[in-house]
Amino acid sequence: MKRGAPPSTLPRWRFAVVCVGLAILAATLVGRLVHLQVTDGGQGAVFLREQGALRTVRTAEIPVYRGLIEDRNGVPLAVSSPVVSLWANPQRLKDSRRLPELAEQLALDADVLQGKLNFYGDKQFMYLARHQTPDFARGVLRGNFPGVRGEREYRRYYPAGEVTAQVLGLTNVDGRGIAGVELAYEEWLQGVPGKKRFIKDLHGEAVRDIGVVVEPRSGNALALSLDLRLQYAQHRELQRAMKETGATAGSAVTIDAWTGEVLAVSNYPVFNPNSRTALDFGSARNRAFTDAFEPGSTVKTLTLVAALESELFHIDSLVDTHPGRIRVGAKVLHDPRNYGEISVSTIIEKSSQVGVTKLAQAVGHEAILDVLYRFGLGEATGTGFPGERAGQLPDLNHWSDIEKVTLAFGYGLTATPIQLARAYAVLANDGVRRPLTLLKQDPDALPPGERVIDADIARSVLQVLDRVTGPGGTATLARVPGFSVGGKTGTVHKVGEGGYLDDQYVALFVGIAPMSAPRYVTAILIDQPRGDHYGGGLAAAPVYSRITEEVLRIRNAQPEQSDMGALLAKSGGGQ
Amino acid sequence: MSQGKPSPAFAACLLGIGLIVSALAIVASTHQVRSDYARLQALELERWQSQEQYTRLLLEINTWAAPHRISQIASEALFMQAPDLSLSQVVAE
Repeated sequence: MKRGAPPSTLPRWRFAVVCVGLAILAATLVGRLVHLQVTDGGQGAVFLREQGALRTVRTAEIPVYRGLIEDRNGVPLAVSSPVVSLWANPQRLKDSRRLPELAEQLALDADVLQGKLNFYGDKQFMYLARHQTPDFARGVLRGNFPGVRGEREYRRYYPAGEVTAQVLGLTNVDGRGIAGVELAYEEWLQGVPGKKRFIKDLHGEAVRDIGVVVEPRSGNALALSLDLRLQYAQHRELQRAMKETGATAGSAVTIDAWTGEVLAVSNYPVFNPNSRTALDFGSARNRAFTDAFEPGSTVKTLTLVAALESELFHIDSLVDTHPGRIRVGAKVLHDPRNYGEISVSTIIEKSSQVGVTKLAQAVGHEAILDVLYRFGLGEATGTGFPGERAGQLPDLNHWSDIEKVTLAFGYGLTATPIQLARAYAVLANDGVRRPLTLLKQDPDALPPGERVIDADIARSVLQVLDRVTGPGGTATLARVPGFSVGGKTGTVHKVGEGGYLDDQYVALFVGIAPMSAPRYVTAILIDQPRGDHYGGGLAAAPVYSRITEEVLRIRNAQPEQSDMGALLAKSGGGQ
Repeated sequence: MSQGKPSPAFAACLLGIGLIVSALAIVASTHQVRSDYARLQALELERWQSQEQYTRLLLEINTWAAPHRISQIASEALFMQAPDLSLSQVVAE
């Protein structure tokens, strides 16, 4: 039998003191816990949460799809395709024994890769290869190299390549527009990249996604006014002309005068937008918009408008150009031969310097300058194309006699090919000037045009332009089988050091088709054609003819000339 | 003490049950969020892959149907040419 413990002889207060002491300790611990986890006293809950998050939570960007660019028929011209950029954490990769294997997979030199890794040795991020196809990247990632990861991105592809290169422009490696339409409509195309939060481990690798902070929003699609088939045909003919004439540069632009839409625009030299390694910014320029030239004789058409508006002349008024030369100030202007007494219409058909000089002297330079302004020279065309030049009209305090006259035949002012096309579009549009656009327009909701000349005058001028391509005109080579077309040639001396150069020219042609329902305006510019065929009528007009043939075919214009009519009558019962 | 008023013990019991239910609800909803998020991730991956395939096909179709390729095949392989005007006929609409 066990004896119970002897009753305690210690005083009861000691027990109480220990209990209270323990209670105080427990309360202190609980208080500290509450302080750290619930209340925020500077070093409390919020602080700790922030510190924890700083070490583990990261925010990553969710890439968004850049909007598609399409032509007017919905054919894609610029497509963003998912790609994978391979990157590495140099701290983890640099000492790996599998480096040669990785270098081989990436088709890199192992020493170069090692050097790069050492260079970035104290960093945690380094690109190995950007914008790789997903299949290739998957292959590399499957190798599970230490510290090698893939990052999703988009890369811009241009299925039509050089055909649309200068209009569309480019995006940089981060997918932002840096030129052309890509830059002009950056906001619309770009979209809003999303943001997500994730928890990373010691090595910086994502362990778990926490959630999306900003919902990504893809970019919008953009429908351009271009017609890819037309664009291709124009591009092909321009390149061919460059080869044939040996010119250094060239531009062609076709617009729909009724809607103000730019249907096609091409330039030479060209570049391949899908390869950045050999990118030359000179070739990336959309010269039809950015390069201004003296427009030469193509302006004579506008002088004719001023002459008709003055009511001093109508198209059949006779002007004496005898003896085929005229002195203005210190300069003598020549015609190729003495045309004698000819009508105003013939002056334009033959592009007679003497005749135009007499018209200009009769109506005065203010009237001509006013017409040039109204036809949109000296101001941008409204496309908003980045880098578009507005050309220049002379702004002189004192006009010499020769300056007053040279204005009438296109010297002393500058214009871009697109501005010339727009000026002629006023004539095709019955005297109404429209802003140009690179975007597809709803035919029922066109922006309002502005009437700048009388419809009757526009029609009279068209009649004259029709004769320029007729027998005896300067642009018989501009004719298109089955259609009647009108236009005006221009041959301009280039400006070099010390003045106009005798042996370097710019050949121009601006034409309107079809004359039965004038609608399509095409401007051709050929810079420095070589050989004997340097003039607008020989170098530029044939290009116009070939391009316009395609324009009219692709746009389903109805042939109008009599040889067609005869066939219609003949084949009434089918062939 | 009126009949309608629950005793303090009953109230505490009720609160305890409420606490447990809400705690379980938090667990359930956290689980729901995680599994939904995992599903979202999977769907996003699927979207990414579909888009990859779509753009690849889009590029492919446009490469095959490029105007220069068509005109080359038409003229070189099929010996086609644009008909001369004298062979053309306008059909009235």
